[in-house]
Amino acid sequence: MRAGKLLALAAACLALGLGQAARATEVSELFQGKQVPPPNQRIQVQRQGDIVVATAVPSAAETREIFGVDLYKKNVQPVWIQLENRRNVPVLLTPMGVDQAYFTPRETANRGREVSVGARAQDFEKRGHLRLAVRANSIQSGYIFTRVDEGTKSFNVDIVSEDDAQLMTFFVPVPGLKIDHYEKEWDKLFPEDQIRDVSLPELVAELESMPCCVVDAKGKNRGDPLNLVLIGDNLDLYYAFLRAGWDETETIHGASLWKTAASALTGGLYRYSPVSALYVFGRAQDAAFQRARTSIHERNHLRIWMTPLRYEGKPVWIGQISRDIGVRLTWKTITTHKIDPDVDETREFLLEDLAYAQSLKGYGYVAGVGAASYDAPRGNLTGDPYFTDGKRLVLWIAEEPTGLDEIEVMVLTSPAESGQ
Amino acid sequence: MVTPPWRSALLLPLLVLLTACAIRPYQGQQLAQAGFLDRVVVQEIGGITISAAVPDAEETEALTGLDLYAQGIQPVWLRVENNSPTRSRLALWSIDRDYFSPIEVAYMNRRPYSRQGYDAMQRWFYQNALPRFTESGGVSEGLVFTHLRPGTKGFNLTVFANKTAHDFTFFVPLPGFVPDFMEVDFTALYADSELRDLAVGELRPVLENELGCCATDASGELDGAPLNTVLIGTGQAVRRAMLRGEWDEMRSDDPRRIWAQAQNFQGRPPDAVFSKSRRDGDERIQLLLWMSPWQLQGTPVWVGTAAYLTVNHGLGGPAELDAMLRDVKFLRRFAQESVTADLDSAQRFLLQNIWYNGSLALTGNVRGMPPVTVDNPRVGFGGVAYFTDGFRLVAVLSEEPRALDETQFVYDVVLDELLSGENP
Repeated sequence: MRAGKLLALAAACLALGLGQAARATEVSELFQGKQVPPPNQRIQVQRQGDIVVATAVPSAAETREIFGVDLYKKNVQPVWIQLENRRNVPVLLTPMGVDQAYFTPRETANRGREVSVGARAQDFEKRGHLRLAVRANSIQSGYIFTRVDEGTKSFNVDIVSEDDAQLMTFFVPVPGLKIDHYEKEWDKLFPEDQIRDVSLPELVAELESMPCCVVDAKGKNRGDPLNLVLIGDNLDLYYAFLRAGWDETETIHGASLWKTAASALTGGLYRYSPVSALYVFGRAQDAAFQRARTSIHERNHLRIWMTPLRYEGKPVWIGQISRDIGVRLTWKTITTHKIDPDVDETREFLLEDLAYAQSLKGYGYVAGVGAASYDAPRGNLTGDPYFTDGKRLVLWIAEEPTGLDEIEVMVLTSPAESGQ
Repeated sequence: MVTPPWRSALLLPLLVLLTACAIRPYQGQQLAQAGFLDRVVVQEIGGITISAAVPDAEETEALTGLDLYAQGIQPVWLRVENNSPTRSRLALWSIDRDYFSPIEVAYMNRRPYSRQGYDAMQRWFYQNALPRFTESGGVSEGLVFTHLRPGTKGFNLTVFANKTAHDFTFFVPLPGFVPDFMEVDFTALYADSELRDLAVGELRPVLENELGCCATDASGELDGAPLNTVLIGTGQAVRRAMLRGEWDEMRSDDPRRIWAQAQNFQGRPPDAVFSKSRRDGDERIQLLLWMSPWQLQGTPVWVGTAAYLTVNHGLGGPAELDAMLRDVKFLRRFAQESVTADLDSAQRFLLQNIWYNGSLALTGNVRGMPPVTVDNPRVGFGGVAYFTDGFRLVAVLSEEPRALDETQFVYDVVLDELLSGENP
């Protein structure tokens, strides 16, 4: 089980420090293994005991410069990793920890040859981590070749030796995407006097009286049900979704609209296609995520809005989730996604997805959506029908990896109503 | 706004065409009477009894009226009997994290049906889906729509409740699919006099001195694929490790086995071949396994080869390759560039795959052959050149899932040798 602590936030604040004189002397005492220079200055460092790991991820353009091949085009994204092993025993650095379907340097060269005749295996082998084992008291660096993530690359670096596994999770931004919630000023969403800490009974009462559904920009027509509540700090939420394999969404602008249209026609996979704005509290979603399955027709969409409530100091968010099951034509937007009318199914999927990412501490149910039966469904803004038991799923996001057997089921209303 | 008459004129034939296509009614079958339920596999943990059965392609079509296998969808039927004191929740995610929702499957197949036909189909899928929750003392049953994997349907399944979780692993056989190893009579492979049970200290000398470097051709004279892998575990443990690692089992007549079939150990082709491919490319890795005459304290020792096989090397087609591999200069270039030539990378992938899927109890290395450098490659199997540091991976498989840090390493001179080979 993953026992490593999430240190990414602290790590993001640390500098690499190799330039510092004092540190340089220390490093020189270590055996100098393979050395490959980092691709850029966006370096993140984490330390756990005698192990220090630094990582950096080159953008598509930087990758072209370093390897002379458009690897992103072939779904290959190099991740630079430097490992300082200050133990007296060798440790193993496992590419599979970074990506379970990692590419060997030769597979990378082979894919490279499909776009550039000149790609040679040794160019990738001399920059790649070839062996798993890293000597005692040594420092080495190199690339591991993974599948492409744009926006923020999230990955684990596992350093394993007998009886010990150091698991570190990294979140490294990769330039190229314009993500909406980067630009939000979270502390200015509500005036200070509106922000309220609430007790559990107050929380339930407040949540049950919030609007049932999203509305359109004019605030008139009611759309998808607000069937989710998330409780957690911005970053914990953000990391939870990234770890569960959700992608951030891009703000709608020309270029990405073209990408979406192209992939809607071909069924191709463009994982970061923008989502339209839906409204709660008079404003569009604060953040949106999506999780692609096998084509653009099959993905789950999620939008969240921060509420003025705080529970045990943590922000309370309300949200909406839907599963796209196909594309259909409409007059207004030309194409739109057909959503699964069984919105509760999608809601429960999210619970499992976060639970398996070890990001869920507890959950429970409250009312607030209003039931709609299979035979008398309600409609969303694009005219898709949906049916629901009318409950809101409340998810407490874990700050530390939490196993499935540690998740607490909370009884929030009367047991009969809470679904427990 | 008034619609111009030409538009109606254009729309009318289109409409007729569309309606003509979509007139089929829908008739799903009664799940309770389905014949495949006879093949049910049952397990019980912590008061939760799960029964699982999987319909094959024809049975699925008979049940749903749809050829779901052709769409890469495989239904799994489950029955949950909850004799625990609390309400239980089954995580569909644990069976397939990208499972299809029931209405999604219906919607994907809407085209040939009339409006009423589609409504009936959607209702059938919705009503026959497995509910996530089962009350204490209650029973739920229904279908889960997973991605199709060839061969035996192997999957994990987790049932959880307040601060408890139970993990099941299922292998449900499918009719008509017989994996290669089921056709091997393992009890008849060796005479009693040939079998040897080894103590822990005896294994290494046997693997280093008695086991040949490589598989051979059918005559046993020419060297074939290097035997770079040794797995120790029961047949069931090997199979679990492979299924957990998402390797495909293969029929003995699978065309992807051609290269494997040419390799021999003790005069016979592999007892089992497993294969794993990427979703977005033609790269493939194969594991060939033979049961050896040795056992480690009563547990079978399997010897084999792990190698990447790529259809497209970017180095020419098979005919070109055959001719060119006789040319020393080309041979060297092949060894420098080919994915297949890099045997050690395949071995490392296998090790991590077993490890990350919780099947690795102990691991180490023994020498299998002298090092072969990339500049002076050996031509071994089916004309393909390779290089290797010459070590064999030895892995003892665990029956129960194991965390990453519960694996035992056999650190010894071999690891030091491996490390000293690292280029600065």
